[in-house]
Amino acid sequence: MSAIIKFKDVDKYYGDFHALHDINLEIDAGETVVLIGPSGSGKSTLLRTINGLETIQKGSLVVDGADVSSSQTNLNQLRTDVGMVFQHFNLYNNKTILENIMLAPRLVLKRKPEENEKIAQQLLKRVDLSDQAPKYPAQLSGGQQQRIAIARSLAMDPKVLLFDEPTSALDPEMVGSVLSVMRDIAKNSDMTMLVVTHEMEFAQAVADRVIFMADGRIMEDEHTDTFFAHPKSERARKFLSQVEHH
Amino acid sequence: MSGAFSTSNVQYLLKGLGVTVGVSIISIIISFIAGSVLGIILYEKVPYFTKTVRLIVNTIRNLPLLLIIFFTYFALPKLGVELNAFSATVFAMSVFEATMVAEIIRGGLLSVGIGQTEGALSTGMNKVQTLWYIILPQALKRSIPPLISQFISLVKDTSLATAIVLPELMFRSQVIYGQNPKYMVPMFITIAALYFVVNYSLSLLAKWFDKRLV
Amino acid sequence: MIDIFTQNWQTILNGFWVTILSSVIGLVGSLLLGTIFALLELAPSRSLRIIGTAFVEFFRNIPLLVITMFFYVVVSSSFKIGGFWSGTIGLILYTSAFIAECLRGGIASVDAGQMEGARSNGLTYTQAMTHIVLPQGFRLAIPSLGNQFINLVKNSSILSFVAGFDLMYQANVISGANLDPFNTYIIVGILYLLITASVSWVVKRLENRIGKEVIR
Repeated sequence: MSAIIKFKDVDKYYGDFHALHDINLEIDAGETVVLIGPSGSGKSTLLRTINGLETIQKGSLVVDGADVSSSQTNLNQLRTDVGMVFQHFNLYNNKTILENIMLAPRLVLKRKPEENEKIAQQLLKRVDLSDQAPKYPAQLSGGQQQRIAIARSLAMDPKVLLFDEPTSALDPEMVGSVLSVMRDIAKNSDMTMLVVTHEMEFAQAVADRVIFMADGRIMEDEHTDTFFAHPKSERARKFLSQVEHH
Repeated sequence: MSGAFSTSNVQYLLKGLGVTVGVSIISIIISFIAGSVLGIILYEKVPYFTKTVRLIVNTIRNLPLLLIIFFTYFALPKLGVELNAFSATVFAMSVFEATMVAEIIRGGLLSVGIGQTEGALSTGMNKVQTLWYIILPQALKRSIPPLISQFISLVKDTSLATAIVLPELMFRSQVIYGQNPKYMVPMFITIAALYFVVNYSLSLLAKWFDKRLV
Repeated sequence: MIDIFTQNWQTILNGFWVTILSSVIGLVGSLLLGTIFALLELAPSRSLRIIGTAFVEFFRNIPLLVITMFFYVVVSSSFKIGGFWSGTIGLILYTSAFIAECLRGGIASVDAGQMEGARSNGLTYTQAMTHIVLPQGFRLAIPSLGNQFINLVKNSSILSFVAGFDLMYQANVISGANLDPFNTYIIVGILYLLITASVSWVVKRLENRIGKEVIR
C-alpha cells in the first residue's frame, strides 16, 4: 500500500506559539486513523493542515501526490478530493438540506442535475434523513445536521475524509447516530478516514491505528489494539484514565 | 501668491472653515444634550409622554435636513421667530441631529441588558439611581462610536447651509471659483481635503474607541 | 393649505416623481457599487483591499453637496449631464460608500465556519462568496441597509441645489411664488414622510420575512 498522506518534519507556528512539532506521519489509502489527545495538543490543527485550512511553516506535507505547502498547488483541486466534517457542522445556513449536498457537485464537479439529485437522495437515505430534504439547517437537530454534513462531504466522492471532533458539540443522545454513520463509512468504503475524537469506544471499534498527541507532538502511533492494551507513555496512560472516568 | 490660492482667498476660505467648525461644535453640544434627554424618554416609556416624543422624533428623523433648514429660515419668521443664517442653521441642525442622537442613546440603553437593572434594583437602588449610576454610563460608553459617526454626518451636513447663504466653507469656495472658472478644480480639491481631514480624524477616533470598548 | 396643493398639484407631483425616480436609480446604483466595494474591502489581495477602503473612506468623509456640485460645475462643463444626473450620480457615489460599510459588517458577522465549510467542500473563494457568504451577509445587513435607503430618499433633496426639479426644488419654486413657505414646506414634508415611511414599512416586512426563514 502507498501512503496517501505524508508528513515529513512538519512544524507549524501561530505567531510565537509552536502548534505542531516535527510531525512525521504516513497514512495509507483506505486506512481509518483516530487522533486523540488532550485539548490544545494540536490534533485539530494537524487535521486542518491536510486540506490547507492551516498553513505549515516547515517540512513537507504531501496529500494524494500534491505538495500542500507549495504555493503552486491548486488547493481547490485538492479539497475536492479531501472532504472535511466540522465540530460545528458548518452547513450552509442559506441553503436547504438538499441544496447543501448538491451545491459543490454542481459547481465544482459540474454533475448533471438529474444525476446530482439522485446521488444526493441516495446519500440522504444512507444517513437516514430522506424526509428532511426541503428543510433548512437551523430546523434540524445537531445530530441530524452533522449527518447531513457527512453526506455533503460524501457527495464529492472524496478519497480522504477528515473529521474534526464531529460529536463534541452534540447532546449525548445524538452522538450514537452520527458515530454509526461514520462506522458505516469505515466498514463499507475504501475511503481514507482521519478522525479527531474523544469517543474511545468508537476508536477501539473502528480505527486501524491510533495516534496520540500532546503539546503539538505525536507521542504514540500504534495499532489500535496495542495502544489501548499497552499505552507506552505516561501521558497516554493518564489521558486514557481521565477520559474513561468522564 | 495670486490665483485661486491668493492670500486673501486663503484667508477668506479659512474663515469659512471656522464657521463650519463653529456651527458643528455648537450643534453637536446642543444635539447631544437634547438627544440624550429624548433617548432616555424613549427608553423609559413614560405613559403618553413617550408616545408623543416617539411621534415627533420619527417625524423629524424621516424628513430631509435641507427641508428643516429651509423651514427654519423661511417659514418660522411667519410665526414671529426671526433667525439669522447662523442661528437658523444651528437651530435646524440641533433639532434634526437630536432625534438621531436620541435613537443612538436609546439603542445604547437597550444594549446594556436587563441583568444590570435587576442587579442594581436588588441592591436597593431606586430607578433613577439605577439609570444614572449603572445603566447610563455603560450606555454612553457603547454609544460613543455611533455618536461620532453621526457627528461626522453633522459636519458634512453643515454644507447644506449654503442654501441659506451661511458663509461657511462650501459657500465661500463657490464665491472664490465664481471669480474665475479656472479656480473650480483647485477649490473642489481644497474643500474636499479640508472636510476629509476633519471627518477622517473623527472616524479614526471612532475606530479607536471601537477597539478599546470591545 | 389645501389650495396650495390644488393650485400647484402638477408641479408638486412632478417633483414627487423626480424624487422617487432619483431615489430608485440611486438605490440600484449604490447597491451595485456598494457591493463591489464591500467585496474589494474584504478581498484576499491587499491591493484590492486598499482600493476598496480608499474609495469608501473618501466618499464617506466629504459632503454629498461637494460631490454633487463637482459633477454639476466641473464634470458637466465637459460632459453635458445636467442637474438630475449630477445629483443622482452624486447620490450613488456617496450612498455606495455607506452601503459598502453595511455590507462589510454583514459579511463579517457571517460565521467563519461558512467559508471554511464551503472551501473544504471544494468550492473556490469566489463560489463560496457568491453562493454562501454574500447572500447571508446581505440578510444580516438588511436593517442597516434599510436605514441607508431612507437616508438616500432624504438626501435626494440635494437635487434642489443643481436645478434637478425634485420635490425640494419645486417646494422652493412654489413658496417663492405664493410667499407661503410655512404651508408649502409642510405639504412637501408630508410627501417626504410618505416615501420614507413606505421604505421603512417595506424594510420591516423584509426583516420579518427573513427572520422566519430561520437563519443562524
